[in-house]
Amino acid sequence: MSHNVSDHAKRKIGNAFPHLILIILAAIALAPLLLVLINSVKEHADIVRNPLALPTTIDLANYADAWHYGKFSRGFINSIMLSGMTILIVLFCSSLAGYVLAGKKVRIWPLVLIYFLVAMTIPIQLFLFPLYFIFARLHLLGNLIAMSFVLAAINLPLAVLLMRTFFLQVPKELEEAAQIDGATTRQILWNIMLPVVSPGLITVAVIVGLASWNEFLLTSTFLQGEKNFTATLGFLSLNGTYNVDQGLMMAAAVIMIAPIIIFFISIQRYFIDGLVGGSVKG
Amino acid sequence: MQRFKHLRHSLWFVTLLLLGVTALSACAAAPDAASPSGSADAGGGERQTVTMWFWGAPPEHQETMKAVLVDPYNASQSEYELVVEFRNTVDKDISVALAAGEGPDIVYGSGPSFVAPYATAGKLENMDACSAANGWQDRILQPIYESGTVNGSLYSLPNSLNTLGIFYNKAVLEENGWTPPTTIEELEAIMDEAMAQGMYASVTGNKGWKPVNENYASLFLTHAAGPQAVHDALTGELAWTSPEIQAAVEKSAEWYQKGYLAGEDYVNLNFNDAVQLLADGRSPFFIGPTLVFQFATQFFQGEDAANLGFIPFPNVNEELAYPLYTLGTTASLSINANSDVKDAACAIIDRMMTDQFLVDMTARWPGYWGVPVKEINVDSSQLTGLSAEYLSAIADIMAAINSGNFGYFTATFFPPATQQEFINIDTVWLGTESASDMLERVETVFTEELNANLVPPIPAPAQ
Amino acid sequence: MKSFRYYILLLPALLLSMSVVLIPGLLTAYISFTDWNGVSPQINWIGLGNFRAIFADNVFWKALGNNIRWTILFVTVPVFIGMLSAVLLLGRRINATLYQLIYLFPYVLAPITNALLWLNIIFNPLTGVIGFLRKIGLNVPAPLGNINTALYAVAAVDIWHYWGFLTVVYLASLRQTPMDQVEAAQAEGANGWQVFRYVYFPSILPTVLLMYVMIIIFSFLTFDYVYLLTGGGPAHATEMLSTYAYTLGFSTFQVGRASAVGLVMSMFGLIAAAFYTWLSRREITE
Repeated sequence: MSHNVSDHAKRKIGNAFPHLILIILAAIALAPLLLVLINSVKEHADIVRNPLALPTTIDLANYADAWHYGKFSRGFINSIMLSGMTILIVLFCSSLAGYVLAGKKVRIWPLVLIYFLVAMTIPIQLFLFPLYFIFARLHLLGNLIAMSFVLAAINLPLAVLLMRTFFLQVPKELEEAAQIDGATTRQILWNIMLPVVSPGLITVAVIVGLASWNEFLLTSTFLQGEKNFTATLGFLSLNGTYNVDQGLMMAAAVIMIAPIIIFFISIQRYFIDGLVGGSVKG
Repeated sequence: MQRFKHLRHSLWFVTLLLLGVTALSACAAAPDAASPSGSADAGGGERQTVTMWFWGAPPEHQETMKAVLVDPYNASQSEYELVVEFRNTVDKDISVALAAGEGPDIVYGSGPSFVAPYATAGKLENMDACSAANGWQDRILQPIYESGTVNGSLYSLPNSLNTLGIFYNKAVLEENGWTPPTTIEELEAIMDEAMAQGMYASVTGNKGWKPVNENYASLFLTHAAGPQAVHDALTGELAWTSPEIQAAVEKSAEWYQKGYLAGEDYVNLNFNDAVQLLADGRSPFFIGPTLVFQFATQFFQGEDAANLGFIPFPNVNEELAYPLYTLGTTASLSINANSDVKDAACAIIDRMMTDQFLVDMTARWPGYWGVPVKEINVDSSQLTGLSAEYLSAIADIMAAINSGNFGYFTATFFPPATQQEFINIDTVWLGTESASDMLERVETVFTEELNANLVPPIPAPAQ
Repeated sequence: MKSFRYYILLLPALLLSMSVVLIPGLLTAYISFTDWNGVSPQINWIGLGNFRAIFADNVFWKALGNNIRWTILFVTVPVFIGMLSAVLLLGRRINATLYQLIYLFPYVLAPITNALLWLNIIFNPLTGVIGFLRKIGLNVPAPLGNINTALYAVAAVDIWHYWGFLTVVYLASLRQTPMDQVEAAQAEGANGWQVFRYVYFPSILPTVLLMYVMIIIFSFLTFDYVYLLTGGGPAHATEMLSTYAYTLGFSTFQVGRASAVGLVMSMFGLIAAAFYTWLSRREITE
């Protein structure tokens, strides 16, 4: 009896230590975010006094000011449009290409695959300048739709590789049966393949959506003019002009962080699936 | 079965996304489509828009600009409408837009060295006619006017003078029995005492804007190497590796290493942080450009405004004239070669080149509108506090320039790659290379730029 | 005839990628052999002049060295933390998902938000934790201000944002290890380390290698956090090839030289991509 008890206690201690490590790591991930949250309702002077203290009063004026000066109402609309269009373009292109590549439908498929692998590793600096001048020549600067094509092209290689993996998982029999029934390529793709890989489509959408939402180097170069600012750019410009008021800056940071965290929690399964699908070979 | 559930969810998701994006695109497109009619004059006549881009000034300063420049201009005539866009990334926006033959009608630039390549490439309009029509040559400080020319023709005028000096907290100096220093020994003695007391020797920093470094490069070039040496180096008559210039760079490094430039916090502070520290009495000094007055308004408010003083930087080389000022400009104004409204742009720049404009802007926005006119002849008695302090600093600088006692701000007079080398002066400060290694590279880079005609006109100092 | 139809399906992806990435990329390659300043209508061919210039520039080698140090940091620290947390999570029946979620929070946020919150609330001597620690009497140095620590301080922020991603990937890979092998090893009396070393590790090795290649590629391209936190300073202590190219292109009108740096960067990317292709050759040819 006593033997059993000590065994149990030992296991408990054995479990507690790893758990402690996990908790510490969680604290490291969360602490800066929590600091932002508690300081977002404080006045600047209170932050200077002690950034670690809990707020004594909760002042939501910071949020109102941050929202106003960061021009977030327009920024969020622009961000949603930009990310949404980018997602649609990427889904369209990558699902078609992924289908062809997974089924080895064309003879040059290894070449195409390698092209996308290489494209993934090209630094933005390599094509930023010429692309900018092409855009300027075509009067596309500040054009959200054109911008979404650029972001789509940047995210396309990973999306193609992911979609290819998802198509590879579809049983061959499904397509063969449809072919025997005399279905056209369009019917096979639209009615049979796409519904089966739709979880993959969502995964790609989420990954591409987050990437384009968070982007700032290309958007700040191509989207000139405040009316075209995304939420990210609004936040960036806020920092330049209003960083005298850390309370306001922290509130703006919460405005940036909260929607993404909420969105992420609600779609986390697809996101994690995608990360894993793209990186773990079965 | 499981798969089927997935599928229904997913299709819903995609459909909703599509609907959402379509709806938003429609919303966003609507105001755009309406905008041409929005810009129409109430009187029915169609006004042409004149655009100007400016950096992202805080709202109260944007209001000042609207009240002093935009509204009066728009009310003064019915043909054009001036629209000022405030952009945080204005430097990058302008350079990329201009290169592509786009951009605003009135071009905000970072100074003569910025203007030269664009003028040569035909992106900026020759302003000689505009200047002659408005008598700018009689009105504008001669060295400043000259610096805005490329091959003898005017391509830009600065909106404001900018010089380097010492801001000090009067209360802190009084409490400690310090008097405003006029020699480098006095200055260094006070800074040593301040550090011994746990204060900063002086506050400043380059957080978020690495080019802050060049303020201190310019400062020591002026006050240690001296205007004549820098002038000769900029005109190719003296090597950058010469001993007086090397001594200046080494002096700046000595200062950094002693912690005179906010110590290790140099990279963690920006001008706003620094002014706040100065206002809080945590430092006797803030050594920096006069444009800092505009940040000071937020921290030296009300009665505290009288607490902020500004004095010239003392000379390291005692043979130099005192007071000596580093001559710089904040931004430059040019006209876009592709503009359809060049006459209006010229008229607007002319409005900004008067002593009246200087006083009106400075009343509410001290620090950024030291218009480079030869003298101030309008009544400025209504200015108080920081505005008055700034105005007197600007008047002193004008006098010094008129008598030729000025040095050369890197951002205004140095060609771009040479300027970049001086922005990277922190390699010497932090001991990763010697001053002579740095200056050898400067010499190479500068010679290349001199041969490529990238050096702006360098006005001569007093002999 | 049939195959022609499939080429059409490939077309949107290829056209988009080529017009945005490939063609401007080739133009950049051309520019890197010219003296173009980004403004002038005049473009002169100068052969290898830009490459000679950057290879003669100490800053270039400093940046390259920093990229390599960055790579070494990234293939060790986050890999260790990620692997440790993944192994620990593997043993947990409850809350494993919750921990994964929390670890991923920094990963999904925008670099700009992360960088600014660290600058303002951690590093700032006025409003940050550093400032507070000093106020209560601790003599804390400024991590970003010292040339010996700046690179680590910037890397710390980037690693803070990145390691959670590795946790999730490693955990998923660990979970794919056949349970019968794990149980067989445990039945034979293997301890926890032995089970990991001889059963789990061989099983996840392909994933670990693949992540290594990805980390190396992204280490040579790294830009966001460095640009936002230090801009490459102080004294080039955090200069990367990417920030070096950015300064050349946008501050000093040396677009030709900037393009040359971009070309060198993509050479490294290409080597890594070749290695990646070689690693995944089994999958490509399956």
